[in-house]
Amino acid sequence: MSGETVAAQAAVQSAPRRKRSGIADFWAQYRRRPYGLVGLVMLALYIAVALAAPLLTPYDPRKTEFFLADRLAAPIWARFVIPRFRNAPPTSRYTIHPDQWKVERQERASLSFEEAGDRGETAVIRFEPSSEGGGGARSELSWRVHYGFNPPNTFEGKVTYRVEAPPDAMTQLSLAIVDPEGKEYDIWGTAVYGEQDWTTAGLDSRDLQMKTRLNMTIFDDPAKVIFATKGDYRLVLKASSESPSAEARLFLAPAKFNILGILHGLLGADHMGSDLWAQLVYGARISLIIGISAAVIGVALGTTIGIISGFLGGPVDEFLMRVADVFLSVPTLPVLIILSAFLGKNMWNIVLLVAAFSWMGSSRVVRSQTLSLKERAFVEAAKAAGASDAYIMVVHILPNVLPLVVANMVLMMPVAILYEASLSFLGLGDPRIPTWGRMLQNARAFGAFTELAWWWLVPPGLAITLLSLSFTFIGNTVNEVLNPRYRERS
Amino acid sequence: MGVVATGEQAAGAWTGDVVLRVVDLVKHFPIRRGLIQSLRGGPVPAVRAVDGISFDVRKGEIFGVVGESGCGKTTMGRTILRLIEPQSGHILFEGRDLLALPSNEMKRLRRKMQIVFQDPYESMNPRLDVYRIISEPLRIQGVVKDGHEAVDLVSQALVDVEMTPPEEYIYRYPHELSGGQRQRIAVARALVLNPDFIVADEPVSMLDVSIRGEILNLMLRLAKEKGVTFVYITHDLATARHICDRIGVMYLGKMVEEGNTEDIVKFPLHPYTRALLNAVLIPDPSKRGLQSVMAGEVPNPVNPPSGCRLHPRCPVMKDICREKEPEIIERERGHKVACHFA
Repeated sequence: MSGETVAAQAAVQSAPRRKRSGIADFWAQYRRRPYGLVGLVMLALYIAVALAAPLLTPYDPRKTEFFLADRLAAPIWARFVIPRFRNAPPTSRYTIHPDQWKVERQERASLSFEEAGDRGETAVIRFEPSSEGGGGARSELSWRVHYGFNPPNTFEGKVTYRVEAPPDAMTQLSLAIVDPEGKEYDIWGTAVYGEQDWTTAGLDSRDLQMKTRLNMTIFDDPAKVIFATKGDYRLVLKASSESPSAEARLFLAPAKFNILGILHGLLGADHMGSDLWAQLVYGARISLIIGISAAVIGVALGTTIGIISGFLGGPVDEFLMRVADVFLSVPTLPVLIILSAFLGKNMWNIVLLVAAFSWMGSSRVVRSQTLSLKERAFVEAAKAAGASDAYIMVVHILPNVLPLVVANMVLMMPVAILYEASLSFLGLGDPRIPTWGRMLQNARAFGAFTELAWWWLVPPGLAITLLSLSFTFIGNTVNEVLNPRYRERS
Repeated sequence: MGVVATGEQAAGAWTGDVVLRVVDLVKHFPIRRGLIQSLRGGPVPAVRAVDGISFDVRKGEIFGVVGESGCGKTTMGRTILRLIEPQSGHILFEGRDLLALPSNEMKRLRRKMQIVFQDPYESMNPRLDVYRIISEPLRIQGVVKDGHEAVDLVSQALVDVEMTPPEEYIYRYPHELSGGQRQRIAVARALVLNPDFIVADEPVSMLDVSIRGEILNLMLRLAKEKGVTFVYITHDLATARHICDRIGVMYLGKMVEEGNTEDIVKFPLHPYTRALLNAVLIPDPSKRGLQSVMAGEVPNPVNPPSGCRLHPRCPVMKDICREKEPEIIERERGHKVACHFA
């Protein structure tokens, strides 16, 4: 008897904390399980990464940010790991402002600068009218750049210009690269007759146009040939004009010149030169959202059906369980493929579809638990007090199946994530959102396997695996803590 | 006494101090058969848990229902409260036939009739605290809204079951309480609506012997002070004899003897009652062992024996017992028995 009173006093003293004791109890048991903790830490990391995505990467894969680097660019740290990337170039981007051009040669031409509204400062080359004896006016500008890596695969650039000239004038503009040994490569050129408004010309070492201009075959690589040595390169802009009647003017807005890197960022780039780390980080958001919401919806549905089925019994039970059997026996993935093809590529469609095909397991578990709970005397006591079926289901059955439900829900999350990844991998995902499944699908479709671009293949696969694993760890631990013994008998 | 056929007729014989009249109550549980067996046809076999029982319970008394396990006494207790729907019969509570009541009136009437269950570990939702367990009937019946309006009523109920001070127990969970304390909570839950009538279904059989007396005395006190009528269901004739005003003895879904506790204990007329009394252990070394305890097992209630259901085990069995089922007949004043040789 005295033991009882001591216990009673202790209980009174701890009375203010009583409300939290369920969760505190749960945590006290949970924290003793290493796998559960590992899972929790991993999940916390994922959530942190998903939340901090904009801080972790300057790129946003939801926007189309292409050609940040060469296609299938390797991660930047690959240079320390893999010999063939030891001196590979990262991406170099240059904007050549008009005043950065150095005048090399001018014949009957002059260079000045003026503001041109929203284009900012522009360079203006004035060409004097050509004399009868022929020999037009010309100007040669150059811009120096140092290149100290192994040859790149690609370079590209943009020249933005405008010509103001009489209709009988012909103005020519061309670009050449001069390598450290003085060899000149004529990479681009154009001729303007009369006047032309602002025009941006793109040049790309992969274009056939440039290759033919350089007398190369379609399989040659201008970038490799031109940037074969390390040293100071010059980009030379040649302009000339034959304008018989009046002065011609050429306006130059800032030009761009990029040498696309073979190395890029933390995880390299995909086939479009988009940043893979950004896709991975933003993919964590999508995977978590899809996994959690599909599991919550699916398990909520399963719990409702399970409780109703188990509690009401009879024909309702028969009907609901036969429906569950039908859903269980349908092969899920093919149905998901067909339905998602019909319903359209939308993330929430996938969530709802995955939820619609994942409620059966929890409904059966909950039903069987309900069958035993509804025979318990406290349910009868509530009936004796006049309680309705709905009241009993909500107040007495639901809280007692909740531990099962929670564990089920956590264990459902990796399933939902894997379904989403499978659908995305098959090309049925939402193309506007970056998911790990889509990363893998792109990797498969655009040559990551043939070129062994492991930095593209491994991270999304590993991310899916580890996230699923963390959910499984947590789910199993929750199950272990909550389900073998209900805490009513201390 | 003939079997009353209809509710009106049953009500016609109403006397003022009778709270509950059970007339010819029948509850059979059909046995689920396999597909092939059910195709073979024939009557669906059923467990005849309650097979035509009639009795009256008077206001303020404790009426004991005694019988072996499996004799249908628990089913009968639940059927009285319409927790189980019977096949036929009438349950008249304060003159109204419960089985004819629409559900909303039944719900209102449930304020007056409550139940205490056998297993105090089973009868409480482990996820609710004492306050919510006891106040549940109040909330269901709409006496109070949610929240803490019911604190006074719940505290009063706790005081009534001698759990003082109430504030020490009110926010505890069932698993923090001992078996005896839980059973008091169960009684408090039954009391909180101030009912006139409580079915106590083996309320002490799961408790330590040391605590049984407390719960039984609590019931006695409630009956005497508050005028609560009890139907006390038990397999233990010793406790029934301690607290009951009248006792009914059940065997295989039938009432075999009914009468004042004094008469039943001192002058049992039915051989089964005598056997039950002999099975009660007497703390006297000179009366070592049991005298004439009934032989054999309780027969299968799916196929009860023909004639008198006791006949395969009965020490005074004659041929008539095999063929004719004895009706329950008033032999002495208020003492009814169903035996050809009583």
